[in-house]
Amino acid sequence: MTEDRAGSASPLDRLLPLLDASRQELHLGAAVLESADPAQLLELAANPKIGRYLLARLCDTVALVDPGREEELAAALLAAGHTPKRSREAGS
Amino acid sequence: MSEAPELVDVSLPLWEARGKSARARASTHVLASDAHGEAAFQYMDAGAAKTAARFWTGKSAYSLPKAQAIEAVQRAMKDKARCREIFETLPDDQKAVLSIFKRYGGALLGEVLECEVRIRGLAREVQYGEAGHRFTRWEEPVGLMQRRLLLMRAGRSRYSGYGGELRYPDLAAHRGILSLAEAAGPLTWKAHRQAASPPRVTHLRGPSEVALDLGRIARELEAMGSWKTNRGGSLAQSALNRLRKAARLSYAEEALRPPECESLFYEILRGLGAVQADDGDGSIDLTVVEGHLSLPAAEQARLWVRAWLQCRLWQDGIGVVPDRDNDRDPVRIPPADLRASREALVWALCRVAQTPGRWLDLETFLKDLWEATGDEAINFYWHGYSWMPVIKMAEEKEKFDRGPKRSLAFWLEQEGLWAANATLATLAYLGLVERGRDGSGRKARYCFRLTPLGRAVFGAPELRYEEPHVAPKFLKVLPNHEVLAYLESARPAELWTLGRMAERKPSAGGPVETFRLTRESMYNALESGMTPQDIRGFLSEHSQSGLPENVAHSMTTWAGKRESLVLRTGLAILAAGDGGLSSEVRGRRIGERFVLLSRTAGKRALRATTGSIQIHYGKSTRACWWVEENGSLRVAQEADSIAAARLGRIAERTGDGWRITAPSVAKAAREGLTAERIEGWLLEHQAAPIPAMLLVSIRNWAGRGQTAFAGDLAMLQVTNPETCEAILKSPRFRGLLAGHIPPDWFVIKTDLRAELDRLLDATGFHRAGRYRLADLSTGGPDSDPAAPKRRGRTGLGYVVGGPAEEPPAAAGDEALGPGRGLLPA
Repeated sequence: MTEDRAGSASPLDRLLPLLDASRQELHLGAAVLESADPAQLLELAANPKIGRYLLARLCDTVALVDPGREEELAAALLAAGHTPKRSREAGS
Repeated sequence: MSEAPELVDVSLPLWEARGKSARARASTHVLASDAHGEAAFQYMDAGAAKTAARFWTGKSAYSLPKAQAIEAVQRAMKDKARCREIFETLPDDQKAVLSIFKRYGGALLGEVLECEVRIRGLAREVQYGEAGHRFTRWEEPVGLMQRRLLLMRAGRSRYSGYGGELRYPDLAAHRGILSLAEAAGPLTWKAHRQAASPPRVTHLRGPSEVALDLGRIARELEAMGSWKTNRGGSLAQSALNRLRKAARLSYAEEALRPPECESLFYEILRGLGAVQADDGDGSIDLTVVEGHLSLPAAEQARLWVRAWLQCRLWQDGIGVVPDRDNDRDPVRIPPADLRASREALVWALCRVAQTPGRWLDLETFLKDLWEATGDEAINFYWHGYSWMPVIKMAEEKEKFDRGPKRSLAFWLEQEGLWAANATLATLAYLGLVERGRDGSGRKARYCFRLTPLGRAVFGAPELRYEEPHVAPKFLKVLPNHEVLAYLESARPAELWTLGRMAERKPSAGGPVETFRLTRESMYNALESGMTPQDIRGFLSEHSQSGLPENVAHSMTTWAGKRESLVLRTGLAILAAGDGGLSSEVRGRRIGERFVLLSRTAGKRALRATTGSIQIHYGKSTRACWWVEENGSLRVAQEADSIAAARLGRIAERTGDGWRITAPSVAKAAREGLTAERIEGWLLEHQAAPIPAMLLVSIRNWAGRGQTAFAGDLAMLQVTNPETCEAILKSPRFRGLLAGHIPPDWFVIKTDLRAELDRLLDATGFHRAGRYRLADLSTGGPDSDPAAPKRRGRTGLGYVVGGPAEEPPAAAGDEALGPGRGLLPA
């Protein structure tokens, strides 16, 4: 993967590749970070203090959060000067 | 008297839930209690029950057994006509006692009843006996009544009318009889000496300031989420420290700020029902706080006093105390005594409220308080308060001979100081008392008077609070994003709203508070449910100076930033797989292969996808890979996308699998992943124990490289401990040594090897022989039962190599057997 990414992959691909969806999977209790545009997501992924909590992309503006790290990601975003809107699914 | 269980005041929630309007409740006496006495039947003995039954139903009832006697009394008590008959037959002094109960809502602590009965002249001391054998007793009506019309409340048992003491238990009046009584009028206060003149320095806190601080504490508690509590529900020290640091409450006169004032507000919030603290954890409901701050100021203050009366674990002049005490070394005022003392003090302040608002000298007031409440109402042992004003009579206590003056002087030094702290620190902090001072230091002379709010709270129901005129425009929004709030013109509810959207700057208190609009404060307001329009509307409506354009622009920008980034949690996500997404799947499509499902759709999908991989976040992950010490990693077929994604972040793909390498870990570290995180991922997905050396390698690759030495050394081993000791002390040998590896190895300076050989010869050592090493297969020398226990363990203490080697024999040397050479047997 490292060799593939080093070649023709975009910066976002290298930092935050797409989640492998070759098999059907159901994720329950997941968290995602959604940005207004790909440039913002790239900026966040490139920041090690934020990128460490992002696992993979679902699309160019939505990143899957590493399981169990939502609160740490929220704190890291606030510390970096971002103000993310929090949306909690009922019952979560 | 046996100690009954600690009094539990059930009156507050009952009283407040009675459905009265806030204005009506504000007109209720601050000590009012409608605690019931019916439960007290279970504490009546058979004799008392029969006497009561005879009184209520006739002489024949005296022969009834206890249970039937009680039933007869209960039936008669429900009979309105019978109640009226009994009431009409009561003598005036007993009717007067019932009037006192009517004034206080129907129930009284024993101490307060004593004060009332004495001051109203319903009780008198009587001397009896002959000369040389004089005794004192009290003639009073309450004792006669309590068996019939006044009922014992669950709690303390204190009655005594003999031995010169007048002590009542906590009592409640029968409802049916009580309804027929007129409420007693208020009592006034007469100071035996007024303050000479108004003081030069005064300090007053307005209700809005107090509400602002209360709201601040509530918001910071909410920001904490939940917190640890001590036994009894008080804040754990770590939580209190966090709260203090976050809230940053300040006060004009620090010396008179109540100790741990954040905890005072915390206990008030508990009393209001906003804070729940059970089983070691606390949480807050802000809607209760918001509702409270919407009440009229007098009602808010009345509830603060009620909560303060009940709070056991925060004590005036002391601060937070533990739930458990130590009989031999007390750490708090007994809560029951504190409760009674607070009520007695409030009883006195209720009388002060009925007296025109002159300044009262503190020492004079304390003396009058002792005189009015007697020996028992405010009576406990404690010394050392946060504020220790000079009380002249207390300082001269040793000058007095045995008698009332000496008793008073000692009381002033202990209980009196408590009352000073409660009045001029606690109640002043709550905006109910205005404090005054002349002089400074040890010559300071303190005085006080009730604030208009304090007069209304302590003077209810006769006195009302005139709400000051509040101007709708009580703010000024400045171009530097600061907001000035004029507290005297503001309602607490509006200040609460302002506090939601702006940060309050620390101040020394006063009529103007400064807030600041920041990105974080806007963010918190939006997160709490306000909209950008709510915030703009509030500021525009209440600002005298309108909303500056640059401030409006900042607010728009900050709100926009929040909308541009969303963190969604608790989601159900369906990954399509190679087959793609079915059009029947309902949800929000993300990219080409993912769908965010609603909770209901997620549950349906859970049932429908039983054959597919289901990943439950927050539960244990499936083990799906095996990693070896050299980083090679094999992945099971059923590994899910989470495992694959994590693997992609920390490993490189090789021909037939994956491998964790120095470059892959270094890259992960540059992207923010720590060695601990990588280790955590490995642990989550590894199907077998992770090789320890791989973990060491990962830490080294992630930037925490360790040093190690591998090279040639000239070594000397001497296994006899005494010989080792001798070598270490020998100046000739020490000059040749580079170091010592306990217990029996020495490192020789490389260029002095030949000199060592000569010295060994000269001191009679045989230089031929073998060296002894620990057996690696047993894990080290300590695992070898035959190995001497004196061995130490160092990184260089074990030479990696094969079994002990036979050195080549020098020409002319005899073949050496065991026990010869460097290593004695």
